[in-house]
Amino acid sequence: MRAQDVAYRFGMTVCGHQEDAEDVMQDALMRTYQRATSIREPQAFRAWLYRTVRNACLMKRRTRVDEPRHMVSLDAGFEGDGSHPIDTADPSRGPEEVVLNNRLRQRLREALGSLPPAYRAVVFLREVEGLSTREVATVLRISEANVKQRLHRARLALQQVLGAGR
Amino acid sequence: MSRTPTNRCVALIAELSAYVDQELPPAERRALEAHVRSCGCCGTLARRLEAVAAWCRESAAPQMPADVRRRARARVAALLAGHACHDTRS
Repeated sequence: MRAQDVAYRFGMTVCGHQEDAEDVMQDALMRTYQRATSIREPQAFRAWLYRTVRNACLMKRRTRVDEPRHMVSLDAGFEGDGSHPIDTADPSRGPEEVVLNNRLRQRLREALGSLPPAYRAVVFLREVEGLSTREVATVLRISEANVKQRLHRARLALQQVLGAGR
Repeated sequence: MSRTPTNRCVALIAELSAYVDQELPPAERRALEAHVRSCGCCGTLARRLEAVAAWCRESAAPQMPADVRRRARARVAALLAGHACHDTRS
């Protein structure tokens, strides 16, 4: 995939606004163009591109007042204090199958957009781009444990959509 | 099959993503797998986490709209044209 596609999709995932994502992509293209002669290694370029887009997204975020700021508990998979039953399948029907219809997909998209940008960045790099935990840690300059924690918390928040949508 | 989270469920929840990603060491994976199979709460949660991970891989990042792509191409073309002009002048 070309750099501009990666920059746009990463920008959309982290910024959450098309206008911002387009600005971020344009900025990344400009910087890529300026650095074109000094970039030798494809892998190093990719890591540099991810960082450039992420930093541009963070700059954009400072101008947004509608950005949610909340943390997701590691226990968020079990509602409330964890003492309430989780809505499980009837054992007589065998393993529950999770089917995502259009409504659930839309709600998942909204839920992803409500996560902190730092979580969305990990989701994009790990799930969409397929980077390893170590690679994501290197790109974002955080620990591998932190990558795993953010990914897990993001998934826990998103799976609540599936619980509410059944 | 248990429907209410136990203390063990809450203790194991942090490992469920690693379990879904098959990143746990063999012994830990076997132990968690046994629990997930016998626990309705954790089994359901593991399947939801798998579904969410699959959705993220397939659909989390939107494709670039055609008009955005056109503007990006125009921007690159303008940059290249500016570079050509600069080279000519120098």
